[in-house]
Amino acid sequence: MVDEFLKQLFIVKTYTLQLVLCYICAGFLAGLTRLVIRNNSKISFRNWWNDGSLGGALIISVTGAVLFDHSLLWAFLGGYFFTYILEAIQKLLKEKGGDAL
Amino acid sequence: MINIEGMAFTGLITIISLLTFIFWTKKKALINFRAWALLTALINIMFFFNECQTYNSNRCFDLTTIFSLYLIQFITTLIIMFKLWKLSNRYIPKGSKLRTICVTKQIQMKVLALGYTVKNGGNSKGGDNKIKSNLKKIINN
Repeated sequence: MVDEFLKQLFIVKTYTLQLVLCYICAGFLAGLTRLVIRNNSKISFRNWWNDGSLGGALIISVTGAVLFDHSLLWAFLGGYFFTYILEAIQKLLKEKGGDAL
Repeated sequence: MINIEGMAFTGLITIISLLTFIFWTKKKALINFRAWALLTALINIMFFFNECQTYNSNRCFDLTTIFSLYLIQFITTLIIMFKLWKLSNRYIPKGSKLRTICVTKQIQMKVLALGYTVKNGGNSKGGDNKIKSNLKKIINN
């Protein structure tokens, strides 16, 4: 099953430079949309860079490309919603770390 | 054949958004406004490269992508306009006298308040009282 998945990921699908650039742009767009919508004026661009929008977009977009289709929309939605999951994991880890200390 | 009009239009919007971003950064505006300017610039850069492609060959994006980008831009612009409207309300002086003035003056005050908000980028550091007194002058005149 893993072999099939990897075959699908790297042999069947081709990742052109244009597609990778699209995914990166989608990550940036998702992060910026979050900044536009959220109501916290104290945050800075550094927070946005560190909150994992870009990584989230890349992970979900590759998964979306394998499972569904090459699409910028999937990358955008992935980047947008995956950030919330990353934030929740980060909060949980901080809480656990705080308890341990 | 290259779509010159499309390229010029998207290029112009990109330059305007980037200038707005620089202006708001210098004014230390709220991050929401700066992010919106950058988002608009990025989307229009993507449209610009899309327009660079020839009519007959494959374009960078399919129609679903283009429409989704338009949708993202539309929704974020609506949110920013709503935020501007809400922020501009703080400059308008409160009081019973406000209801007695004519509609033209009320609109004039609202437009001025919106102008100040755009100029400051929602940043309330200093100058609020000066703006309020300027707007009060309109009521009294």
